[in-house]
Amino acid sequence: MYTLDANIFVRDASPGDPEHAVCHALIAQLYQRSTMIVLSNLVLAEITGALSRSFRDPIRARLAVDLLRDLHTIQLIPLDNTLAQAAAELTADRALRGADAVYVAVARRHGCTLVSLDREQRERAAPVVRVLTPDAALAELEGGTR
Amino acid sequence: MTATTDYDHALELIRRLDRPTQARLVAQVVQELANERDAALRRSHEAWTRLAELREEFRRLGPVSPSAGEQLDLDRQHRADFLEGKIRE
Repeated sequence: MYTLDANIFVRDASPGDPEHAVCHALIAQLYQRSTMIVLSNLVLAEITGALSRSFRDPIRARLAVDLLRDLHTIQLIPLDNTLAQAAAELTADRALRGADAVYVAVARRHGCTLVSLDREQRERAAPVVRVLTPDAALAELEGGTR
Repeated sequence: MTATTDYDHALELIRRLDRPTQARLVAQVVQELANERDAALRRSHEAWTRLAELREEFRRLGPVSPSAGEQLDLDRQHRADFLEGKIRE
């Protein structure tokens, strides 16, 4: 199972982005293999915010997350008190940024590999969870090791 | 706790039924579970197809600057800098 940072989904939705191809290929591989992607529901606001502010298109931004929620590979976890407390401890101990820590907390709780384009997030999360870049995750999937 | 109690109660009731009725009940539950899964997969497939269309629509909106990915990074960095007092309003 994987936890994907919002930066993967946002790049997947942005065909003009230099990282679009790899992010889309990763999400497509996970979908085709029915591999679960476990996420905090925080991801929804991060995706819509970035898409709406960048494209200035709130309707499509909302549609994007409505569709993501319907994918059978997406499992959304509520950002409840336990998860918030775990994220708070990670921000203190690993000097992660607030939202970044929520992804790490979800990955740790559910035994997922965290995939992110954010180097700082990966480096600071590495002692706590398994972390990969989208390229590495895709290579791993295509290599059939997971 | 409630879920466990409900489950145990349901099991107790089912055990009082004759075997043919138990079998019919199990078959019906299995069928309903399968139908739910089929519906979820159908919804997922429709969403996947619509997401591909949405990507094309975003593509047609043309290149934006900052891109959505850059916007997310900027927003996160801005918030962190603001919280840490590195920038002011």
